[in-house]
Amino acid sequence: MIVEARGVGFVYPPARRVRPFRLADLTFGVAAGELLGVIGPNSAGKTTLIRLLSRVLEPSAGEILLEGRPLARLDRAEVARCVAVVPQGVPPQFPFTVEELVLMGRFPHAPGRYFESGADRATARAAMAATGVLELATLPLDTLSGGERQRAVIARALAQEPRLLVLDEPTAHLDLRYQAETAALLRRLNRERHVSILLVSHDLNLAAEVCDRLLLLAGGRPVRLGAPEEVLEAEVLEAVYGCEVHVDKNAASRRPVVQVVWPDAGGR
Amino acid sequence: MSPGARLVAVLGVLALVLLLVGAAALFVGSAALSPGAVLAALTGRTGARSIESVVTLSIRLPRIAVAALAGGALAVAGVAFQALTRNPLAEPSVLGVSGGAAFGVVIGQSVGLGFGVLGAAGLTAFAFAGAVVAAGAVYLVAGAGRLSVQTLLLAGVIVGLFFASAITVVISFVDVNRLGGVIHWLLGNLATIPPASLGLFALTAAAGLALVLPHARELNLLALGEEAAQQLGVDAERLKLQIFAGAALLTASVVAFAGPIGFVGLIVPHALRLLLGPDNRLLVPAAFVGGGIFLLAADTVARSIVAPAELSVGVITSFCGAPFFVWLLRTRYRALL
Amino acid sequence: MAGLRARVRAVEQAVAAGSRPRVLYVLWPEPLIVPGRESLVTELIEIAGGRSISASEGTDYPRFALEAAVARAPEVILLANHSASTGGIDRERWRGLTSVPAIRDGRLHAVNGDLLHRYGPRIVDGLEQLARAIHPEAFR
Repeated sequence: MIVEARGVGFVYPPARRVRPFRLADLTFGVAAGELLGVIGPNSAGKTTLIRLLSRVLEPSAGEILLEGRPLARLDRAEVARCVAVVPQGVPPQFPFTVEELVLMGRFPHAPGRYFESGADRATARAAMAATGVLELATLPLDTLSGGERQRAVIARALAQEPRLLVLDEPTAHLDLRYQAETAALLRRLNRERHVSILLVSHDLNLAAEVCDRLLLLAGGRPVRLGAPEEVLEAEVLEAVYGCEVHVDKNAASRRPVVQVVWPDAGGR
Repeated sequence: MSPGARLVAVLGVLALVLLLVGAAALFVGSAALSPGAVLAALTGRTGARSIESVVTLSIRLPRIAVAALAGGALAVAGVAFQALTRNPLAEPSVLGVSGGAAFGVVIGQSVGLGFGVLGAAGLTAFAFAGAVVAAGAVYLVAGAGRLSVQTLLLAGVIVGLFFASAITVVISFVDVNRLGGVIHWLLGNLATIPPASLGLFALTAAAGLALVLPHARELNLLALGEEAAQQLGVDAERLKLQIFAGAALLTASVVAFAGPIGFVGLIVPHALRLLLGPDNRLLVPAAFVGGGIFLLAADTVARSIVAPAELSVGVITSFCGAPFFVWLLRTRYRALL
Repeated sequence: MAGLRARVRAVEQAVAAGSRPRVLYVLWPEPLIVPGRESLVTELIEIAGGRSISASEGTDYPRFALEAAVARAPEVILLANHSASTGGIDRERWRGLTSVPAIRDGRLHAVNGDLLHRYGPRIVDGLEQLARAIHPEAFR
């Protein structure tokens, strides 16, 4: 197991949120080379899960193991050498170029170093090549398209040389073509670089297409964990999301496809 | 060119410019010494008790050192506050931190601290306390967490105004006769200070720089946001504390020895960003030298433009800084407001 | 009033015979602020038998460059202190200025500024104080 959560719980301090939020009884693992999808409605606890796995937050119950070692006993750089989080983008007015961004991924490997080494630069170039942004290396992030920016951010995470790549809604702001590209990229990275992937997404169909297993969260609790066709069952989803759905199979990949049954569709 | 070589080249060029500006400043002044006389004093060909020697070595040289140090310290404080708050317009005077430090110094003076190196150390401590209180107040007024650019600036202005009023109150209670001196000092005023005090100034400024410079790479990562920086291995809480302490110490040392000189921390970092890009590993050391160049040039103007009287150097930096601030707002950071 | 006038005349007579040394009157040390052409202190220094090196400056109390003061080689330096609450006088910053005759000859004196900066009967006390500092030989 690359990462293992054992009975993990977490409660946001009451002051931090208007409505107190809690995560409870979370037990799962990501095996070496596995692609696990985490899905669920808004405020299911997906973002909290990412923060727990990257030690931004500490669990209030249970424990998380990283390659068998308790996460709580690792320092930040150790965690970052194992787990790389891909955020949804970079902040507005982020002033650096693609290459400078990707080189930031080398920080946990030598936090005391003032400038990156030649080896760091080579790793960063390989990461840029892997996501196809090498020719954009000298461009500032704010001159790129949404898809290019996403690939630059993924390259930064790859430069960390992690065992586990955690992606936070990687297709949130992307159109269909970039969604397809991202899906293909993740599968290729998983295959060629043997990096395990934890994909957090609203997009059930993307998750079903890309992932080996899915973890469905709702209201801070795990609802189901298993292969996409075991998790994406109409009655389960209807209970969790509170709307009528229809589950089909993708003609090409034989993976489940979830469609909303629009409440008014018949009356038009 | 490797980044290390680039840093060396940048620092080399800036150091050369600093040397040239410093040399030029040695020949300028209201005592109207001929260049030959200055050279004679520098090479020791005049007696140590000659006017040439005293003016050149005991008056102009220490003041040049103070100007270079103060400018460097303020510019580094500017870079540090900008990275810390992720706000390109943050700066010790804009944030009200200089005002807090000035209040600290006025309090220190009113309880009797003043002369000699011990007095200067005491005033630096009071200035540091004032800077920390002001920065803390800005943080509280603006509200914790990720601050929007406007909120932070507004909070800085409010805190700055508060401390300006507080200073006025203290002065009016202390002694009318001191007013003349304090008013000039509040504008930001460089002076020839005795060697022991100059040494103390250099030491505190170096301590401030030492708190910031080693973390320049982490400051780059902070541009990703605090959470993303943590996920890359940055201990964000400790980093913020260190940078905050360093920037406050740099500001406090300048305020204690030269008064609250405004806008250096805005002009110099942004000018250098236009030349060098956003990398704090280049900006922090370059700002230390570049800030010295800028303030030294400004002070040379301030002490020669109305000779034998003098202007406060803060007047010059504000005349440059306020329009520059407006220009930055209207062109480069329009989107933020 | 008659008594005051007599005391002023006594000062004038006492210093009449002596030279008229160059005086730097330091109203405020940092930044250096000195009495200018129009100021009362400049006038008092004249009466006390000295010549203020800043007597020709434009305004009442101009800011003055330290090096300009040094270049004018004052023979007497008078540091005004302002009541007890402001503490002592900072002699330290002047010690290094060894080219200045006043420093060389040990003629750096503190004077009570409260007696000199405001119009009123106590000005005569201030004048006597100035005269003693500028012409100690005349009051032995």
